[in-house]
Amino acid sequence: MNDLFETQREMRHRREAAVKRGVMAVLDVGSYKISCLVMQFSGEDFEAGAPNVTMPQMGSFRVVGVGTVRSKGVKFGEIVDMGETERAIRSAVAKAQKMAGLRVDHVMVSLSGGRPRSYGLTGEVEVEQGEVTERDIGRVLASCEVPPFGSEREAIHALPVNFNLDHKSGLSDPRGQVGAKLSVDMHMLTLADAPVFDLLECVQRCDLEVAGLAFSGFASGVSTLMENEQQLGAAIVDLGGGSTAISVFMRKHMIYGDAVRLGGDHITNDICQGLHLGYEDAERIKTLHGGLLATGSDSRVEIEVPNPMAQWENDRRTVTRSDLIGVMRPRVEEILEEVRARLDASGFDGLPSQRIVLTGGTSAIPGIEDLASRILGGHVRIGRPLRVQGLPQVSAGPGFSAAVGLALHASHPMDECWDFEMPVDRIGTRRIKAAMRWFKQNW
Amino acid sequence: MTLVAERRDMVVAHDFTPVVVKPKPKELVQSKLGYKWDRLWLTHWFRALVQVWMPIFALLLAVYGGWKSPAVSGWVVAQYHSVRDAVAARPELRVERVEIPVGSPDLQRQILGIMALALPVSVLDADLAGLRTTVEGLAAVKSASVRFEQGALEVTIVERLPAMVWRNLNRIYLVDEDGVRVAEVPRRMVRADLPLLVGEGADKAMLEALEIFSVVAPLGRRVLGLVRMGERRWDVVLKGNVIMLPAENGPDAMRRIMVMQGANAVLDRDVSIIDMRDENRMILRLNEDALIALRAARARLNGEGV
Repeated sequence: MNDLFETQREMRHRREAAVKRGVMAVLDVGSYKISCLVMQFSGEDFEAGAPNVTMPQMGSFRVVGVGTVRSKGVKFGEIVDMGETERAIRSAVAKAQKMAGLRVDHVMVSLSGGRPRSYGLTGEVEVEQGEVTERDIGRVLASCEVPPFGSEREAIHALPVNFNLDHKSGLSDPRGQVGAKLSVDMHMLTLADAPVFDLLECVQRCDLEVAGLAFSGFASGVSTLMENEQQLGAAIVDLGGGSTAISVFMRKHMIYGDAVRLGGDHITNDICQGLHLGYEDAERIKTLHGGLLATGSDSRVEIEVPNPMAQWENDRRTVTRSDLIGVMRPRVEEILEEVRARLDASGFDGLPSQRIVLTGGTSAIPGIEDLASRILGGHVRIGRPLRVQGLPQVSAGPGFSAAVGLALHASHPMDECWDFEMPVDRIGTRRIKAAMRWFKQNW
Repeated sequence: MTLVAERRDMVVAHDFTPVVVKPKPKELVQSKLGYKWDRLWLTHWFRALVQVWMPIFALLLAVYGGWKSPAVSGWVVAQYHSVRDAVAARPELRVERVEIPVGSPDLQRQILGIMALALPVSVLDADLAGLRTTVEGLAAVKSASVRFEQGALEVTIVERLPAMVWRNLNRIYLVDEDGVRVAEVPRRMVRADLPLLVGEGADKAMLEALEIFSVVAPLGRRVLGLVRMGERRWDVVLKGNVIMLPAENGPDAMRRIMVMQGANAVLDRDVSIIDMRDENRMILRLNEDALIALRAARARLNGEGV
């Protein structure tokens, strides 16, 4: 538990230091694109009167630079070619920097790969002096039993979702209340450490300092879910290029996170194989003409596709739209069924609200809402990220919800609880160990 | 049917043009060095260094180098001179004559001589300020202004007018109100209309002398002149008497004498010296005849009294 406590605190401090410097970037490393937003933090926190500001976290920063490039060397949200990815990150950051006219030193990174796994932790302590103090909260957080998630995994999110005080449940901040027994329910998300370290290494090779790391499903949820959805419970399905991130929100906290290793790239691959097209052409007709719901006129709609083997100038090749839908639909169904399985496993059915929000680049396929509500059940809507100041219209689509969510998370994090002091009896040995390690590493 | 016909036409034409498959545009990827350079360029201090401080430094260095190198500095000086000469050669700037609107012909001749201009000359080569000081150096010129106007150099002067004649150490000068010598004259009678001052340091007390002269003006031609005594006080020399004035308030003492003259005609008596140096006690020195007469009168009074 101490490790978790320390790493969470460390990440929080780093991020706050970056925010204090005024300029910070967020980097969403996906399988299809890498997008970088440069944020400038203004002094005043909340301009209530400003137009387009409807939520507190929208007012504190401004996006001054955006750079989006085609991703290279990333598959399933994990890096497979360090050099290619490094170059792609470099161009994204360079683009954003150029637009902003500012040099960026700190970045927050999000990724969707790494096989996320969710854990629920509980901790319980006796309240020391009748009234719950920050010290008690620190103690109860430190007392959580961390399950053995394996040495090759890394905990990247850990947030207290719920506090209980003597059978009083559903407290978000029990400070000042009187009680005897304080317990906490915490949600922790772990990722395989190899993809995380690869990504951090790539970012560091670009002379950037990592100020934080987030799971892209969490970031998308922060930016796309309405406040009441976050409160009552909603699932966010971020349909990306190489993988589909899922997270469930409840009481404004993420309570479950997972990912399906299928995404839009697989649809494109199916089109390549089924219609015998090049990858770029398949991508093109998928985005321009793709669809999921068959209509009566589909077989008459002929889509012209490039024909490199053409012998004369009118040697054309066409596919019908029904062919295209016939290729795309089974794959999308497969993805959504996988998502359904994960949501069933998470106990999403038990939540008071069953809202499902689709976002990510692949959610732009026409008709996916209908298909998703048929497969996932309940209310499905397409989520666009919250509008933040200075974000260009082209970068405000569903594909950018993870990047925007990271920006919002950076400006208004909800992990203040990690600032609370940890009990002294647990610190002692650890401090000495840390000092010893430091000596070993530096001499 | 028409479609088929068109297509057949195309085929029959054997217009075989291979479809050019365009190479994919190479994605613009920055080199690592370019990326580092971009980041450096966006750094504030580096940008300020390159855009502000380095140009300043280069400029200073160039100026210093030019200053040091004889070739460059010589070239710069030559350029400067050639430009200046070209400007000086303009007809608009040529001085063709010197005009002196005021002043006696004698003074005008003197001024022209002292200016020593070789006409025509460019106004840039004529040192106007220097000419002005030269002209003002003349004793008879109180102030002068020299300006250039339409081909002529106009020298406007204010003459010093001689106010008095000053004799000192066997030389006779004409001096103006400020005590400045205007000219030297061979004899005092050359300017018989001006009052006479005598003595060392007389020129330094001109204001007082003028005041005294204005006080004694009613005496007319009886006034011979003023003598400066010990660079301190004045003696007024009249025909027949001398009035010794105090060092301070000389004009006031003289006014008292004039009042006495009006009342008692003291100056018309047989008195050689009226000593006013002590303001509380006026001393009269009588001539010999008057003294004898006075003593005789006293003896007679005493005899009668005894």
